[in-house]
Amino acid sequence: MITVLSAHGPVTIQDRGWIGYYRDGVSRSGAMDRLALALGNALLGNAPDAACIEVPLTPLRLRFDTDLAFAIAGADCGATLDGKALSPYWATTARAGQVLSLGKVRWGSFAYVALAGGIDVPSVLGARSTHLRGGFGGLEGRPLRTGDTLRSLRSETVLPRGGIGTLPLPPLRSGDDDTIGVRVLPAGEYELFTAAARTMLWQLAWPVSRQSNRTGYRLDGPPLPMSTRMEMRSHGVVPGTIQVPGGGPPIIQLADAATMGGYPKIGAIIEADLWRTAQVRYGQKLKFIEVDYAGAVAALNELEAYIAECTAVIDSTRRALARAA
Amino acid sequence: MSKPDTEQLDRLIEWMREGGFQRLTYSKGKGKSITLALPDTGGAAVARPLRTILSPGMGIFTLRHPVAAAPYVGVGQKVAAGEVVALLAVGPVLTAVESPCDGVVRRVLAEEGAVIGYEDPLFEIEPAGV
Repeated sequence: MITVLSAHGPVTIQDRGWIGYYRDGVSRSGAMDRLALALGNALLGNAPDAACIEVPLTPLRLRFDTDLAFAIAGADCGATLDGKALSPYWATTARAGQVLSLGKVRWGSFAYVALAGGIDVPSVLGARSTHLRGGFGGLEGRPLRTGDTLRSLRSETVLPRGGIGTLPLPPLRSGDDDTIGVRVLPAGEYELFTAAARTMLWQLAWPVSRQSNRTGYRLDGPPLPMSTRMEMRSHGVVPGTIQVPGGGPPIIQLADAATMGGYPKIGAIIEADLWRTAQVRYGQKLKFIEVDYAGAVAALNELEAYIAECTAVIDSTRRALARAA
Repeated sequence: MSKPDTEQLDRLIEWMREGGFQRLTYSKGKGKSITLALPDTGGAAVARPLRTILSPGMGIFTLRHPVAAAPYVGVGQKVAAGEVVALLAVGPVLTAVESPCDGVVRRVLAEEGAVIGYEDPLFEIEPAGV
């Protein structure tokens, strides 16, 4: 069991979210950085759909009330256990009474804390994620607050002495650390934008504005005009869709976005790079890299292969320890 | 006269400790010599045996976490028992090498990037006094 000692901002319980309820208006939701969720769970030998804690803003302090294996993943925010530094993307076992602290963010935006077995909250429509707008799922459909206690579905997991970690994936483009590259597919209305608008989409680095959260990111920059004025009926919108409302700068729909929307779509960030998008923070810029459908599928296969490789090495390390014990 | 280079002196003292020498005289021509002597502590400080950290597993020896600016430890740095001093990498997965005791890192025995086997010597630690 753990107790929340202090939390800032909407700290929520998230898993992979809802699949198959779009027709009922239930957005996918789930972890913004699904790679961090997958690696946090893999480090603990959890099922891939186990729920963890998503932390959009630090500081956060949690107390372990029992001995418990846990993992941190995602944003690198100087995590410490009783003052002792933890490496990023790391799993270890906390003793009862120890305090996990997430501090100043050095890289990324969303940090994750996974517990052995996953967090024990009721599954609603097949997911343990928190649907903030709907007010269901997670812990009473709300963000965590000071004094909340959470149980995990298991307490122990075999870990090497000193713990185990994984390497974060390198950025797509090197050099400027504050401009993050993400791959984008041209979307339905791409051809209806002016040639100048299409050039700007690919050429500019788009600053992420302060009005950015789990629902979506609003980008700063010049308007992207269309060649013809058009209006559309609302239609299905998936996480990653880049819309251009009324010829203004683009917005990106993300995990908690509505399932429907009517703004013209100039592009869509590919599924494999949604985790990169999640880790961009206010003050940083997004650079869109054009890919085609085959490239988007290959990138997703590559990401899944990376998660599978990590999981296989972690599991074999754990099996070797179990044999030696 | 130039400022004395105390860093070089520190290094000489380091070598004396490692080699177990109580006194060291360095001379460079007539009238140019220096003698260093370690404080006489009944031999305890000098003879304190160094402890070797053996590898707890297999992997690529990694002194610095790939996202960290600095290595976990360097020669001459104090470490606490249970502190991570290096990593072993197998593909994208990392495990920790921990110091078995409080003390000071005296020597790094493996090369960064070397393939390490179980119980290969990795560091020499001078345990803290009792």
